[in-house]
Amino acid sequence: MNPIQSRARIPSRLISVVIALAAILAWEAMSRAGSISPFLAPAPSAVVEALFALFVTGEILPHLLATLYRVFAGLFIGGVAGGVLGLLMGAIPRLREIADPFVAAVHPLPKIAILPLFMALLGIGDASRIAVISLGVFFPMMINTMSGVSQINQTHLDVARNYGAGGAKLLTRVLLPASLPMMLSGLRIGMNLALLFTITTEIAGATVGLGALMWMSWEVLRLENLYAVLVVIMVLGLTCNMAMKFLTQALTPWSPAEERTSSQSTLASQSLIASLKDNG
Amino acid sequence: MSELGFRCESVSHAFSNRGATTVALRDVSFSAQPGEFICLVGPSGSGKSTLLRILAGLLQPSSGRVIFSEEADATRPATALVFQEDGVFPWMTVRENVAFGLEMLGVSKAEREQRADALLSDVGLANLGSSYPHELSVGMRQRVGVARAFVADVPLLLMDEPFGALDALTRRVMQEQLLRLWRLHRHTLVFVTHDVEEAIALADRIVVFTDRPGRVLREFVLPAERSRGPSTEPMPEVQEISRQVWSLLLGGVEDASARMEQ
Repeated sequence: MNPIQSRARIPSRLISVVIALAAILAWEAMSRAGSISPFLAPAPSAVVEALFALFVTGEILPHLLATLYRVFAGLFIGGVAGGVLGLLMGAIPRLREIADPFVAAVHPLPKIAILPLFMALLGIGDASRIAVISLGVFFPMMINTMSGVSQINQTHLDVARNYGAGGAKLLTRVLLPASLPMMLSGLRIGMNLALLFTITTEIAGATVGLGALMWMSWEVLRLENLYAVLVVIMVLGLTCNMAMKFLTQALTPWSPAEERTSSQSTLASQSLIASLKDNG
Repeated sequence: MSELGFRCESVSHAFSNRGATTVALRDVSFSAQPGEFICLVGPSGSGKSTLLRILAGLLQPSSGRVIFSEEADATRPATALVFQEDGVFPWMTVRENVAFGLEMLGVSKAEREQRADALLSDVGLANLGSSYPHELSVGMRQRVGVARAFVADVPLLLMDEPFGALDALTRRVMQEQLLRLWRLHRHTLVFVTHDVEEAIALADRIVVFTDRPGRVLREFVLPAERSRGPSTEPMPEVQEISRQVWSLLLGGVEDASARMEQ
């Protein structure tokens, strides 16, 4: 990062923080003055209080654990399946041609619309939810891996074959590392979708999970709890994205820093675009 | 096994792309003595890179064949390719890149790192073994590619305009380094370039190619005992060869523009 950029960066972050603080303060003031209903929009102090209570009583713990379990189960199943199939489709053009119509047909479906079908097939328990979440992770992972493998630099392949690389060596030393950056970006998009689908499927009839807790808070009109859960989900999303960033840096130390920073700064907008696309 | 001669016999190659056939090489015949430094000179699109791929065994010629002097053992002789750019793997450190050929041969990690480091100091990159290619300049990356080609000690080195993308100064330094490595190892070297001065400075023999389809126009043998290198003023005999290569290439260009006007 050059010094000009970093000098320009500090003020914009500062401005963001100031705006956020100002909005929260204004909200608090309006709430106390009674100009907005404390019932529909509880004061930030009340939300913090509710958040604190959720953790102190341990009430949130089973919900948080259930959500994390679903996110990671979906991420694992969808990630592995998408990665393996993407590798195969990227490496074998014929397989790609055959699978292409199926991908084109199923990918645009809002995955959440398949939940009732999965519930009919797999029961109303966690299996049907995890199936939807996995499917959401599967597509970006498969598509990114496939394009990572199929767009591999021909010169790299020629050099590798010229030095006698084939089979497992070609896979582990050339094909996999060459497509790893694309796979990781697929995993990052998949992770954000997994969070999104987890919360969404939890709203639809789950008894435990952050989405379920949010829904129950709405049903009993404990809106400060609803806001508090939203804060928890926000922090969860930020933490997951930071972990992903760390993982990417650890696994691909060779990719140029400027590429990485540009992908970081657009991280939020990217995941937003991805989730918009995926929900049709 | 450090040098290998070969003979191309009427090698032709045609690509077909969506029904259209492009003849890249037509009836190319020439030979290389073991340990010889051969420069293939010609306009771009004269099929020189295609010929290198055929020599590397990455392509089968449509007709004709390449006979290697040591082909008695039935296995294809090992070759090492260097490309103009992008040949270095970005996901490997400089040391891993240089050792790649040895790794594929199953050489132990300790030995291949030691041999890679020796070659790296030969090309002036002794301290950069643990760096990644993106941290290096284009010229340094190209040196990694050259070092990788020499480290495996294969008998035939194939270089496709390796210094084409470099600035004039770096290019001279690289030419000197390449000559030094070649004198040290005496591998047979086939070097593609469109730069006549580069060919004159480096080669034992220059093979001049025509425009598409690539054919051999003429071969020139340069005096072996001359002092070579980019900084050497060529002797009169060599200057004469340089003049003739230029006029052949320019003649080819004039022919092509005459064809276009018709």
